[in-house]
Amino acid sequence: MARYIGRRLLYMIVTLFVIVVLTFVLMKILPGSPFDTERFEKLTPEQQAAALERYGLDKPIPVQFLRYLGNTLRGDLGTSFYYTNIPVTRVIFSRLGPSMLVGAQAILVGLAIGLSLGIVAACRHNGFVDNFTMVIAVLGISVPNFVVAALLQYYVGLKLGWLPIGFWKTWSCSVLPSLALCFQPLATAARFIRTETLDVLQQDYIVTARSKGMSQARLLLKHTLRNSIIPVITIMASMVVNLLTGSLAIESIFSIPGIGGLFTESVKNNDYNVIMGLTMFYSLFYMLTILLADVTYSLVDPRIRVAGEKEGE
Amino acid sequence: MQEKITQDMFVPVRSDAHKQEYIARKHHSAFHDGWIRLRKNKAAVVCAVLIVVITVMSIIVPYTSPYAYYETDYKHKMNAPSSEHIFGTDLFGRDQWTRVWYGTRISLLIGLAAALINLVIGVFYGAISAIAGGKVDAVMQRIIEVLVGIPSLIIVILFMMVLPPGVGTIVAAMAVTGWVNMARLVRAQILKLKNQEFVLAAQLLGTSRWKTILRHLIPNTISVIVIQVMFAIPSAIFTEAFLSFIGVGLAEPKASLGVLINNGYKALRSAPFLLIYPAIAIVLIMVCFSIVGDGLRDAFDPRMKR
Amino acid sequence: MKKTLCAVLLAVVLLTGCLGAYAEGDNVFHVYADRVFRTFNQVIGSDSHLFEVLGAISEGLLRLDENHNPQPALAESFTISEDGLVYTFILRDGLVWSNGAPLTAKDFEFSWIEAISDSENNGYADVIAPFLKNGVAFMNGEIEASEVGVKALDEKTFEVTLANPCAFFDRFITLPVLFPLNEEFYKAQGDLFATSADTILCCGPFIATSLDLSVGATMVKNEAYWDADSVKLDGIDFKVITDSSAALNAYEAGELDRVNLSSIDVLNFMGDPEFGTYSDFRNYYIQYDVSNPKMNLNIRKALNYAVDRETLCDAILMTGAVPAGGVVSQGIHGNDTQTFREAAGDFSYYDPDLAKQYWDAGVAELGYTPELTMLTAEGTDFNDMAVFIQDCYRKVLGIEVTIDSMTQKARNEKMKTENYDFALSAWGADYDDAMTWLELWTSESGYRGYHIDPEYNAMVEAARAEVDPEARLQIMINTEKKLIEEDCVVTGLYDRGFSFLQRSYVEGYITHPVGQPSEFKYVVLNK
Repeated sequence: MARYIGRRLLYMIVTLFVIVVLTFVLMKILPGSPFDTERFEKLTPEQQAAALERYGLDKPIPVQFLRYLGNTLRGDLGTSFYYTNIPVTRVIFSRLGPSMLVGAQAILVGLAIGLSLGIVAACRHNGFVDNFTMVIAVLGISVPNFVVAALLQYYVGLKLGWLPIGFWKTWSCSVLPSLALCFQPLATAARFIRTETLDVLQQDYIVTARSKGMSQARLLLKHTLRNSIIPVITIMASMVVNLLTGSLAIESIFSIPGIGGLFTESVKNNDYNVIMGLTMFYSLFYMLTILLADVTYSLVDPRIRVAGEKEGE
Repeated sequence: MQEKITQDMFVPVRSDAHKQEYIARKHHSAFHDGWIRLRKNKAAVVCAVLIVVITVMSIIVPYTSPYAYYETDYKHKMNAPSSEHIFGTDLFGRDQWTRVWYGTRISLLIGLAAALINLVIGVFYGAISAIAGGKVDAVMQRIIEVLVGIPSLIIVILFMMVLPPGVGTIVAAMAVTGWVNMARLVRAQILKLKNQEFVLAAQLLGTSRWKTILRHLIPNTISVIVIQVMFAIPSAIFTEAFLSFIGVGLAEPKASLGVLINNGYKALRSAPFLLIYPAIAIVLIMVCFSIVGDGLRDAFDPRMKR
Repeated sequence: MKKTLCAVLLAVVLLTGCLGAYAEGDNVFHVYADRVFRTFNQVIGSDSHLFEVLGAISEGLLRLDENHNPQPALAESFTISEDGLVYTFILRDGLVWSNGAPLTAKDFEFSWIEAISDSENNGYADVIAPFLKNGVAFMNGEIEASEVGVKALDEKTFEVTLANPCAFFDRFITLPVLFPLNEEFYKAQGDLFATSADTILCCGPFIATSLDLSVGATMVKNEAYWDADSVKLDGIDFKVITDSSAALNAYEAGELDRVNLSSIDVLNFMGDPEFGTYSDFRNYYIQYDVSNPKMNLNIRKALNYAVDRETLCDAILMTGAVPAGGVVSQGIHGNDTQTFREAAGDFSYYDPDLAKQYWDAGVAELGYTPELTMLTAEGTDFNDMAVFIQDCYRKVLGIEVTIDSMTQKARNEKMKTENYDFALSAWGADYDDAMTWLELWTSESGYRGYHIDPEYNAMVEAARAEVDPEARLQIMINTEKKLIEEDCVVTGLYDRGFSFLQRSYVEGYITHPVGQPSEFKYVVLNK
């Protein structure tokens, strides 16, 4: 296993390099310059050229890339254009915390409720809980989270006054945004675990276990969950990354200084260094999560041997 | 008068191998079998009919309605639902009834495209990756990581710059990464399945690799595929809405359900009906798809046979 | 597993430790901005919400009163030389920065030179430099700072020499970019300047207690301020709220004392005693590509006259926006008795018959009916405007115009590098004079419709050089008339408006149509 993980980490560097190269090139093809458009257009062509030169933006893309790569390897990710002259690491880290807290809470709550609902639904197939779960699952994916957020803010925050309607002052401010975000992981977890558990419950070995008089709880935990959790792990891996890296709409509605808006903002404003910084952060995060998921597969289900293992032996 | 029992009175019963195996019931293919099971599922049938009705309505209504989807009337803006405007009117006095059906058409189109992308690219990519294993799997998974790693918004904006604005461009842009989750799901399921006995049995019996994938492995992942498609449809519909929101999506006066919900959300306080009807439409579509999807799975998943 | 989870959660909580510090108490004024701040550094910032914060924590030589007239601020008085070129400002006694350092004329000299020396980061360098003697030459790096017409004669005397006489210079210098800077402090902070409340110096009615680009700013009253007696507030809480419905919710929850309404919410509040509207000097217009053979003069004129601006403002925007008679906003200063627009009259207006006439003539000239595409950028205002204009052309001219909506960068790139038909655009005044718009169309770039006209450029130059205010006004009126009515290079649509709700206990909140958009200094809460 250690060798496998070691090799995966090595792959990761290569993959990251490919991502960085491709993103850099595509990003440079994006229309426009990173400067405030309205003001930049007003400058004379000479002034515009001087501005581009000052940031090395007049050089050919390969030259710009090598320079960027050199700086990055030295640990310098450059400064933001949009947030004038503020270092990229500072821009990203100042907004990472709120997104992560809100996202983590949403995932934990969503997973806990979703998994329990899904398992109970599968055990009581076609019963009340089952139907209820299906309704929640369908609503959870077909009602967009910004609508949920707006409703929560208006009714729970404003009309009932139970929780703050937004801003980032105390922990209670993170409750409504987390709630608004938790429906998607909840719905996903519930649906996948329900279907898979239904499948597993019909397998012979479950019938055997049951006929031997195994208690329902033990049966579920020992024999069923291990076999049914694979798709949940797979889909959660990318969902975790998406939720922890924030949601533009939710952050905007609840006025949370998060990272979700930053990504969209940086692409729309050609904030090159921030785009690159975020891309590297996001990709690394994603790849590590996928690795974790792949490792988890073989932990929960020993029959699975992940790709690389075989050829190594 | 007793007759003598002679030898020639007896004829040996020959066992006819063919007759023994004869099945009186009509032969059904696996597909036909599933079809029969699907027809028995009342809820699924009702929902399938509903989908057809919605689709037909979304095509007909924009043509038959007395108002065009782009027709403005500034004297009747933001009117609540009435007999004249069943779903009310928006800020420009445009008839929401027409616009919701028009939007349904576009959203169905986008949802369908997303489903196809997932089914065609995602399922096969995942299956091949899992079955090939080793280096091929490693490379294919790295490609997925690269695709996910590059910010999709950059890709979308570049697509919009090169291609003319419209549904086709949006679908093309979504096709780049829209299938990734499906591929990973199918891969994980097949990794789980591929070392199980029935696959080994099939291989021992000389089943070709492709046939193993198509006939044995993919049918066993069908429940995961169905659910993922169910998730992919609304996610595509809302991705499209998000693109419109940041100014690179569908151009006005065209509308999709996602765009209508987006605009309706802004009017939540002053004209909630602008949000409610498109939201109901999308939930209805999703409920129908989900039930039909579950029905399909119950009918065609080999493990669900009872 | 559980331990890891706890560790992760703990780390997350630690990361979020930087929760915003908010000004608390009854006598604190709560306002918001609908965008994040890009910087709090006055040298490189050009956003209007930054100007509001700077106007509260800092101050210029003069400050605008409720009628937008300049009043003495850090300068006690000033004199203008006979030829109108030399302004001499005398600072007040005992001015201090929030760290106790004395505030002197040197601080103005430094900030004014800084303001015109860094042209690519500083959006206002090219606006300010032409006013000052040798300003442009210095901005282009041709001469030394000492030759620029900006001098601290002694601790208290600040002398400015202009390139040309300028009737509105006293109003112009209330721009926050021209507030003083303490050179020693500014240089000591380097890139960190104004990134937090500790790295900025205040000299205005309030002192910043927290500054965060994406959370907002909080301020408390500055007891050392020269006019502290007039400041009645204990503090200001200036949040960032980007979602307009969220802002309205915050207002109703009592977290804001004033909120701007989006068009769609206006109908609900129109009769409300807390409801109000005002407009500012930001003009929305149609830019035609005059080099495009499809867009001949008649076609352009048809597109101009076919837009029903009254309905656009009253029925769609509903934010107090006013129909524009040209690109120069309605309230822009003209002479002592009239605004520019009153003196000039309307050059762009709605006339469906005229529009149809020009359209037919244009089509006849082309020999075919052109297919037109309207370029527009993202944003609710542009989107609503595009839908409305498309509808006008459908109803008046019977044509179906395609809307091509994209990100702002993409739209601008397309305008700059390719031919297009026409595009929706906007420009906000930098100062209270028609020149802030008229000079734009001398650039000859695609962004200005590839408008190349030496005669027009000569007229703008003539207006710049003209000393007599009345003659200058006349030249500028003729310039705009040529640009809009005769050549139809652009078509004015409307001046931006705002509809808002404000608590009845709020008094003394002043809005200005240009520069610093609002003034907190005189706000009183009669709770």
